[in-house]
Amino acid sequence: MSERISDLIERWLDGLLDDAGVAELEAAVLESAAVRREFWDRAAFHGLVREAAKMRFDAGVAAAGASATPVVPAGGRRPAWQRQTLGVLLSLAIVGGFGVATVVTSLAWTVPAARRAGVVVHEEGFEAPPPPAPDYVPEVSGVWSGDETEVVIAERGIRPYAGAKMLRFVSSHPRGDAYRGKASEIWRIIDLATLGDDARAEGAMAEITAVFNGVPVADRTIPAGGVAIVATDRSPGAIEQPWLYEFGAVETSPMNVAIARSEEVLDEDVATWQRLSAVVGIPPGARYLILHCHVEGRPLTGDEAWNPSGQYLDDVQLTVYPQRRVSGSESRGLAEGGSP
Amino acid sequence: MADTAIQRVQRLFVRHQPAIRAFALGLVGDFTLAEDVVQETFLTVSAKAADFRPDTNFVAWACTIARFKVLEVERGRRRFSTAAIESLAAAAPVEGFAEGRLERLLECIDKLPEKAREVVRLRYFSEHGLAEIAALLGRTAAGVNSTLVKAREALRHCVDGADGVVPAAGGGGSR
Repeated sequence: MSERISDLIERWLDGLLDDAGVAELEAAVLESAAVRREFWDRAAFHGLVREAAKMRFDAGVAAAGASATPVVPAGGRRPAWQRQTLGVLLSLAIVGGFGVATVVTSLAWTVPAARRAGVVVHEEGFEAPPPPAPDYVPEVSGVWSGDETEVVIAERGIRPYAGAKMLRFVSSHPRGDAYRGKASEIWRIIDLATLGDDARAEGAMAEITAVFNGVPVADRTIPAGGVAIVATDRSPGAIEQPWLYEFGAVETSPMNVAIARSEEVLDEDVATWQRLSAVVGIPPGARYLILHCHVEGRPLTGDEAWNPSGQYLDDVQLTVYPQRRVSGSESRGLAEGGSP
Repeated sequence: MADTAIQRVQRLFVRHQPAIRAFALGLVGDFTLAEDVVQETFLTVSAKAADFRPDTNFVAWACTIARFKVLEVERGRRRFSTAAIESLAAAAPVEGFAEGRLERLLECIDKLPEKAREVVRLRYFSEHGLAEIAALLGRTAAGVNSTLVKAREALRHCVDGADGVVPAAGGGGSR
């Protein structure tokens, strides 16, 4: 096929072809079956790019309207029962030492993300395979793995935050009902060596953000969502056991070089997604980042188990903020936030 | 409860809408007009649901209806002649989009250089014309066109190539 014909077709599809060009293309179309095949090959790809762009860039539009955390509908208020619940849980958190809102340990610090230029180094909207594997904590970097989950399209009144798909937490265990846990969670281990020099520079920070949604539940427990980001010096194969058995003391686990977490009760509004984020400093010695997203029911007592009943995750992002000059209170925070 | 004939064809339409839209887009060369054709086609497909035979190709059937809608649109625009539209419509592929190809394309878009990605976003997501994109980016229309053509070729190479690599797609051309 001549470059001239290909150019005419491309210009037609971009709305750039003048009358003389249309006449030339038309004559070629009527004359040659090969031109007609070429025409449809390019037109089909044009259509395919449009479909992909509609899916991929939807995320940006949605994000532009979702800067607040949590996302509350315009003019809307949380139901009275939930405001009360939040108050009760906040009290419990203070008494019990567990956080409902953002938890930042002494090894991490918060800096308004918008004030620094970050680079999104990982995005997961669950649009393309593979889905998270139901296989506990991953033993290799670069894959999502964890409890049983399912990639779904819109369901039960909830539409994906971005694109056409989202992740539903199915079980609090990778193997269904054989064992019932207290939270449904997924992990991804990221090799810092793959993120370039910015992520290993002194003063670099990493932020995890993700959005959660859930349907109203009949259960007496109240679902909550959470994200965590851990900088560790352990290799991927040595992360699972400490995580599973030391989760209650995850902030002080020897595998962590630094950790930041954020958790929040999920509201009952299926129309809005709640965004959670946590920022961690990447200290010298860290080799991997662990991204962690989970949902859980609250409160649970003793050996009581819990399974998800309509909680969803979408738009997980990891952003790296490279080294930069800081001043004032922020620099003091950084100085205090060094490696242990 | 079993679907009615209308529900069945509407379900098929939703599933194959990308292929039907691509068909309309090819014949009219304009996103807005193509969308009008798709919507008109949907209404007619719903109205004629009882005529569809489940053992036949739905995309082919819907595209036959879309072809008439295109002819109606083109009657007022006088771009392609009826003969050219009929000739192209007869040669149109009638299979749906391959899901695997779409998934690969999503990954390939992420691999585009930032400037090329932005032009693709403005063209295919925001549906701006090239002159509008040039004005938005402070570039020449020729420069934007060059970036877009290279981006498409890069995406095609990435999707259809075995390596999934996006070659340089050109992002320069600032005024």
